[in-house]
Amino acid sequence: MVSTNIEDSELDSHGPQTFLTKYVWSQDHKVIAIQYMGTATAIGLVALVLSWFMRLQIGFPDTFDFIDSESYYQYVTMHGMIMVIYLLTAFFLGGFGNYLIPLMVGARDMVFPYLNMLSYWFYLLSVIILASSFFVPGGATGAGWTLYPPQSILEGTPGSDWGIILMLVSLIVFIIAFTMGGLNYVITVLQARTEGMTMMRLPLTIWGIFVATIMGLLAFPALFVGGVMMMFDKVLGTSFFIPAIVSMGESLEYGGGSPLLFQHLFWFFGHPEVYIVALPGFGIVSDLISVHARKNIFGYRQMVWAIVIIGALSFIVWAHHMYVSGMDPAFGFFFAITTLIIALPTAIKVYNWVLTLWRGNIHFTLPMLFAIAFVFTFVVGGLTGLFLGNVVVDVPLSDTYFVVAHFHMVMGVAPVLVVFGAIYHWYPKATGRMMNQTMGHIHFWVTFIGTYLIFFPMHFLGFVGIPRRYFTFDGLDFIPESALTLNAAISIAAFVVGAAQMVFLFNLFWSIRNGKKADGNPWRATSMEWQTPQTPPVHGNWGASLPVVHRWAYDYSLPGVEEDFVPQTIPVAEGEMDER
Amino acid sequence: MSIFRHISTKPWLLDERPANVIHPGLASRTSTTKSGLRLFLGVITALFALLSVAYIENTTLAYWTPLLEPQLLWLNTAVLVLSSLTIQRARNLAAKDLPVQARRLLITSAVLAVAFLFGQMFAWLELLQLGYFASVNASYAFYYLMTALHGLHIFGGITVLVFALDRAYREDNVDTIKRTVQLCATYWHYLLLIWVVLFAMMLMDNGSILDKI
Ligand code: HEM
Ligand SMILES: [Cu+2]
Repeated sequence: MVSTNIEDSELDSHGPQTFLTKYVWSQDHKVIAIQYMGTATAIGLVALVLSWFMRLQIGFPDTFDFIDSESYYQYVTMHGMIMVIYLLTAFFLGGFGNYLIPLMVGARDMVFPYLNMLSYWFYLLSVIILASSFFVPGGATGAGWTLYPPQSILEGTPGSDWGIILMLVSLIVFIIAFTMGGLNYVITVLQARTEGMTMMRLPLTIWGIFVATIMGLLAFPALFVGGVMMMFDKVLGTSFFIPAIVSMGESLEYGGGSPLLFQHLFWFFGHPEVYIVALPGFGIVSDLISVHARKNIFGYRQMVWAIVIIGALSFIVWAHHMYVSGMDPAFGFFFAITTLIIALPTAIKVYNWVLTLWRGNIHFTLPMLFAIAFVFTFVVGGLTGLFLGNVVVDVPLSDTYFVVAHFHMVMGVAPVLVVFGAIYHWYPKATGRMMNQTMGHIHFWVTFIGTYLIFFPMHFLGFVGIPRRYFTFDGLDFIPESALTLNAAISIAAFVVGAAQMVFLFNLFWSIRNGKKADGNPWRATSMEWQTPQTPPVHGNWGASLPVVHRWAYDYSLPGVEEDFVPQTIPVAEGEMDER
Repeated sequence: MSIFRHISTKPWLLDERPANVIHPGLASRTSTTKSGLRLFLGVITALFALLSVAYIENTTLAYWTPLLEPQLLWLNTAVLVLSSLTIQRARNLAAKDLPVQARRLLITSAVLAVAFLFGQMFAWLELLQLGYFASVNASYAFYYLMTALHGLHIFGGITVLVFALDRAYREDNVDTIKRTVQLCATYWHYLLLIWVVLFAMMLMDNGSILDKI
């Protein structure tokens, strides 16, 4: 089936009819999106449970027999990797990207539906490979999510045989999956936009996903190269990343490689990766705030430019993760400067969100609550990022809980809040029903306050000097008793937050049948996905003929117009010009 | 540049021109696959560029010893060039609406590409028999790595070509063949370019390449 936007179908529903082609081997972007989200949620739950295990150990050391130092490292590693890549990246791009791009640009589907389907199945395969590494001899890798060699492939690190190999294979498969999906997202945005939909009429959600995907396409190859090279080191005995090493009195076969090279490759991918999960979040939050404050987004063009500039700059800051690996002071200076410069476009975005809210008609709906919570959390995480961007401040704080606090705020909690807000927002489009409000509010308040209770105090733990990635703090005499008490409290908060996610999951399934019925456009929003003839949209999205776009996505509360919103599909009325 | 014109428009101002003047919204299968391929070549470029940076950085390290290139690589390069030439000829023929001849030449190109892959494997065998395993030195490690990654991309190209040819046979449509040939030719030439760059780097590997340029 050719699904570019020129084809108008005569039939109402020309989609596949059997269960298998409709829901399993589906080439429909909406089904693929749900498949992506479901798989990401499933593996994300694993990562959540792993974080409980870690918090059990840190909060209540020596209480639980099943956690030893080896398994602790495996939990840290798998938790970090799953959260960043298999949950957030997959959710934002594979999930929201797939669901929203064709709908928001007014296309019938992605431009390469078959490739899109393959993308999901490769992703699923990568998740299965990753999960299977828990069950191989030696268990999953415990090298930390950064997988730094030499330790990641040498004896002494948990999972340094099968665990690391499976991790690398899984990453490589993931990257292939991402590339197949990414080609779709970019070309669909560029070429499958419907009549009248210029790039600058796109909602910011699409801009965020679009730029993030391009970044992913350029950044993931670095991880791919690093991963393949490490695989050579592990399997073929090459020494790309392994210097000459004496281990237990014997010198190893390895020698001559450069561990720093891996760090460069990893962070050349790793830093853009932070923005790959942040930019779609930025875009979505902009739209949530605009819709639920009934106001056009403040500074649309600045927002677009900021997304593009952040995307470009994020490729020249990677070495701020390597200040403590040793580098020429001139390099350190350069990377500190670029890092601080990124704060400027980012700050502009924050101001524009706040200015959009200012004198808006704010509705405290669930998506709005999550959007505001995102702004708060992101600002805190962003500010501590400025601390860490400076070499002299980073060196003492590096590898302490200050860093853990920073990155959880900025790229853990903040994007996850967006994911939740977006789900509450688009759920009625995907299912035709609203999610339950009461459960939603419980979920929101516990999650928002709870994550602050978890991660805010960690800044102070970092100032005290408590090291990150430590299984036990025994024998570290500088750690005061109070810090250990604090750790116990943080752990309790972490369990409560985790429990709140179960409420959310329950709500997700419960509301499919029992939620309040929603019409096609319950939030009275302007963008295209709310203008589909059916809700949920059927195969082909737009019925017999494609919609035509006449305006941008932010015509809220126009003067002289009765309704407080004008969808993108409404032509410019006569005299509308004079009213403004 | 049009990108700057795009992003400097003011979408909040009403534009009373008809929608299809503002943006026609027409995308054909030909243009999407073409852009898709271009973007994919961009991804490949990132991949091999990063690999090359790693390679060049390694040639400056103390343990580096130059690679002993199998002479077979020259022959393989010639085969790959030939494959590119035939595919270019196929493209020209298709443009002149001679699908049958074009198809024949496409098959020739695919066969030549397969020959290239076998040639690369024989080169591996030659080195392996001499005891130059990947673990001997970083120069060998890179040699195996780069030829393997490049070979995989060639292999992928052949696979796509075979499927596309099969479809073209069944549909028996001149336009399908034209499109297939065009896309494949672009991909073929690009992979030839990558191979030439990689091979040149391997030839210049005693001491830092940077000093030589
Ligand atoms: C309730 C939610 C969460 C809790 C309680 C939690 C807890 C933890 C803990 C205890 C560690 C290990 C600290 C250490 O020993 O160094 C950790 C590491 C990490 N977490 Fe989370 N986390 C949560 C959510 C997230 C999310 C949403 C992300 C997504 C980006 C994330 C990303 C990471 C990363 C990248 C690491 C570093 C792993 C490493 O050091 O290799 N976490 N987390
Ligand atoms: Cu960074």
